[in-house]
Amino acid sequence: MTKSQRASLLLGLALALPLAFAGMAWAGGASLDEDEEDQSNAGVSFFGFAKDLDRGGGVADAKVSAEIKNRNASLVTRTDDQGHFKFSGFSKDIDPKDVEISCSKEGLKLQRTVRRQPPGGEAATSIEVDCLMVKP
Amino acid sequence: MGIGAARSALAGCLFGVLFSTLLPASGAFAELLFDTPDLALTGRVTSAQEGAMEGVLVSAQRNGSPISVTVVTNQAGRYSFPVDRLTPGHNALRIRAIGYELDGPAAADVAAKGTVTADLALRKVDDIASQMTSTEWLISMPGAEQKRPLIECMSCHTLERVVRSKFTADEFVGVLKRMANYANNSTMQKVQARVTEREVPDDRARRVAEYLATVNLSKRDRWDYELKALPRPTGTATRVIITEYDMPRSTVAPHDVRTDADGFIWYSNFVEPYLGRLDPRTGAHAEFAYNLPKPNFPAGALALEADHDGNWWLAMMFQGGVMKFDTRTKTFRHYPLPAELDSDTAQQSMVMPRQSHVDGKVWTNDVNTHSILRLDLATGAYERVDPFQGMPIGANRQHSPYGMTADQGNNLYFMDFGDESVGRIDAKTFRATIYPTPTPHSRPRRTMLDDKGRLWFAEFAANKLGMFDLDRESIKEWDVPTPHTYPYDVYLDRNGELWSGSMSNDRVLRIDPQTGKSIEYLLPRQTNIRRIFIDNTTTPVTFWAGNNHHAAILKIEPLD
Repeated sequence: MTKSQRASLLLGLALALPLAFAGMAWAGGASLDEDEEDQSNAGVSFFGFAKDLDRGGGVADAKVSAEIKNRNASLVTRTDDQGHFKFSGFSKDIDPKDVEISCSKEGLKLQRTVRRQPPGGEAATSIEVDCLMVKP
Repeated sequence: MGIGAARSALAGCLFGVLFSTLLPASGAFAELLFDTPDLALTGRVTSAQEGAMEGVLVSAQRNGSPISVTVVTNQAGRYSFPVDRLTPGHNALRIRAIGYELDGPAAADVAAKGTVTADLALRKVDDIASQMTSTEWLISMPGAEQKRPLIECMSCHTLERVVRSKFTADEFVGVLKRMANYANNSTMQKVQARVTEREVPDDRARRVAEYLATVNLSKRDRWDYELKALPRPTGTATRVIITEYDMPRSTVAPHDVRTDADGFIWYSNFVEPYLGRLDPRTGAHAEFAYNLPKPNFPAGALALEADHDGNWWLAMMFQGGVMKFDTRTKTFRHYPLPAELDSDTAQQSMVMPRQSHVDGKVWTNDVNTHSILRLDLATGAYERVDPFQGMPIGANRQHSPYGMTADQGNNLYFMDFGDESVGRIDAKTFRATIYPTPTPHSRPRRTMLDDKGRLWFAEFAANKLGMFDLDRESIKEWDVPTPHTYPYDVYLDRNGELWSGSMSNDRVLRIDPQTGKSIEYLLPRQTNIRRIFIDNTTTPVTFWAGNNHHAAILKIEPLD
């Protein structure tokens, strides 16, 4: 492990441990599991479309990555039939500016991403990012 | 399969085809075909209500034997035990058919030669409640999301215990809080308390308690909702032989079950400090004891996995760390957690040593801190990785690395049982990649990696099976046919069929992921299944699992 990776691991530990102990009621299969969405630690979510600029319309089944800067971690999902994607799982301590969205799909290349600043500015709870894709 | 069994299987197969296509009601033809010298015991099962009954499980157990064998009646109501499956002697017979019971005790004196016939008459029961599975209770109970917390109860007991209780909502609050302080590795035969108390928020306990008081017997003598039974097996679901091997003590809790190259069955004991071994050829049972590293903590191990050399590894739960069993010397070596990672709540439920020969590292987890640990075999040191940095954790949203496997580079793939993702940890960089499942809050549980680079997993809370394609980095899902099954594990066999088991419905699922066609094999007894294993060296393949709550190991041999 490099120094920066160790540093990010230590940072992760420092962040995660207090939360882990706060949430010990659930511990691997024997608690009162409920499906209520707890928003107390939820930060900004990201959603958008992968778009085919040559043919028009959305790009289905494109791989979408959300890279979290300095965390040595990323989330990966795929677009649906309409080319839509959503990442809901970031915590409050993540600065949205540190999340970089990118898309890939065989036969296409990512030309650029467009991030739309939503109404509400810093207080926004979701940010739209579109991947604009073209033939290579 | 022996020659006798093979002949029997062939005869049954021919019968199935002919009977279902050409002779849909020909009991006489069935009689003719099954009157063969390859059978030790046969007979017809009938009731006044239905006449000949299909899908009745008939079990035979010779006096004093730990082994019971079960077959299922066909469309003509005929059951047949192949000659190589029963030991001559006095065999007690029992049945399973919801809504029915034997019209008096039944037994058969199986002879060394020849076929014994024992026809069985069934009578209707007045009340099916005592025959219902947890799945059937969940299907029957009113409500929707209120039922959700009950899936946790099944770790230790069936839901019959809940619905038969007379606790009021107020009383249930205390019960729920008390039960939260039992260790995960508890059974009704051996209850184990956690060393550190767990707090359940009052409002959460109250919500659950108020619902439970509406479905139990606190306000009435009889449930005021209809009790709904799942249908009995039909067709191919009756074409199976099930063998159960009783353990020597009722407290034995087989959790993970695995075969070895010599034909032995090994299992982790969830509540006692033993590694168990069964010889399915003889029923002989052996236990290998280890010293408890933390004598005052709950005993027992969860995951059992083999390394490249065939040695067994145990995840030591509240005892902390992982344990290696050297199969050559029959000795254990414990790898304890270092002080900075150890605590009263440290809990290792998983271990993955399979690719440790690549880099000298063994993966495990810590349920308590929702993290991954990696053991360096040369030094005994552990490294810790939090793969969920930047993802929310809150009172109702947890992450918990659980089922795990490793690819050829010893990169780790794990299930986020607390939430909804498949994760990957790069062995060289510790880089974490998280892949949410298409279904939210799916709580993926145990997993296996096939030789085509596909990760198969059970989505416990979503009632689905999933497949993660490592190359495409994409996830596909299949619905489990019976609602409220809550699959625990999944295994892909050499024919490309998926097998799965659960804690709730006493059924084993076999599903073709290409066509979605499925078969559910009903089991003879209440069976709490955890890890499953398919032995691909037999023809047909053989399914193995432990009955975690009832001290038995289960073998299923499909005849198709």
